[in-house]
Amino acid sequence: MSRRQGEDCVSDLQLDRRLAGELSPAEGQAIEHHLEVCPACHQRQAELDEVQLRFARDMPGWASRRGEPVAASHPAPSARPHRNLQRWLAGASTLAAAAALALFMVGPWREDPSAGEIAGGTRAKGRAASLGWVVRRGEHTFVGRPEQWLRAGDALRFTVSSPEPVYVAVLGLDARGRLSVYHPDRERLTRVEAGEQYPLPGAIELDATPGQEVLYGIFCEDAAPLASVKLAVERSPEAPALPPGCSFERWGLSKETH
Amino acid sequence: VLRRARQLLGDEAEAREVLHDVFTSLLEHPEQFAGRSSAMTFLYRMTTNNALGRLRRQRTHARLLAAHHSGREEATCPGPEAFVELRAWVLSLPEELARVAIYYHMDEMTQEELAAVLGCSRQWVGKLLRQLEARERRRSGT
Repeated sequence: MSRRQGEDCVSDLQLDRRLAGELSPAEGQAIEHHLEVCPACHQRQAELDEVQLRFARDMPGWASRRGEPVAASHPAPSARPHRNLQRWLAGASTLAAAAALALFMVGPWREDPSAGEIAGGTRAKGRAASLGWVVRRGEHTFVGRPEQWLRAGDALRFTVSSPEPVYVAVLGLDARGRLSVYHPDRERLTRVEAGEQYPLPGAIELDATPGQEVLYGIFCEDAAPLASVKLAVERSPEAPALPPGCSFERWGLSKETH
Repeated sequence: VLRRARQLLGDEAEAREVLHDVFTSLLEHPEQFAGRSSAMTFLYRMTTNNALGRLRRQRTHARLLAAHHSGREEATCPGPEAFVELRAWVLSLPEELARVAIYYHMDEMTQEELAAVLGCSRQWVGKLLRQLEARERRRSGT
């Protein structure tokens, strides 16, 4: 019986610990670099990502609705279908907004929206919504996560996980203070149904523009005007005074330096 | 937890039972996790122990062995998640070596990781791996 990999390869345990955020930034970075040069480990990571996505699709709300029984193995009838990961990526190029995101690394300093990050109103009942993303690099597709190195040419598609329907915007603030809207492409925030990792329409492609970027996931109880959300972030990037009923989380994106 | 239970048991329904048991047990007895290892390492250990216990149950044991001897496997989760050969072999091993075989061959852990998840020294892990290797050689007739 032979092992898939050599002693210098990454075990499932390490990949899972990385996913759970248990590793130090240095350990996470070392694994990230190993995945770039080791096809076997890269393939294994892709398999684990697929398992994770399948779990989120098959058990919507299992991890997000406290006090409810374990969900059935099939999505509830009211749940929106979780699109096939490969399928959206096939159309990503036509949907790409060609946003001027820099070559970056997702920093480890995601702020906790439960610790005072709600501005200008109350948070939606229950657990807060959260932003995620899926990355396509060449022929490979994987789930985005903290401490993950990204490159020029990578395509990102954002996802939203929320225990209840929520109105969403995704913004990016670059190092020069320029604010970009990645979602929605209309004047008011758009509704996303309850579910895990529900993909937003469209995708963005990363270019090699240097600098840092901060991503904002804005979640509101109703269809707030996009202009008011943008204004709040432009005026106070650290603690935007969002319309009532809105919350946000933000992710720091740092340029790859090696 | 679910992924590893699927790999170990080859049965979706039983894997979900493991998932349920592991987290129900943790909710009822959170003191089980004393923080001596990482949470993920602890979950690996709980999943392995729970799934191995199920594998050793007579009915499952008989079914798997029958399937193995008849040259087929009744796994309901075929594909890369299945570890048909390992599963049948693990049943023939003593408890401690069975765990080592799972961690080493299925999870592909390093010796350092094995020591952490088993709660023993690397020296002891080396000894267990040598025993496992000897059993593998005997099994394959080399």
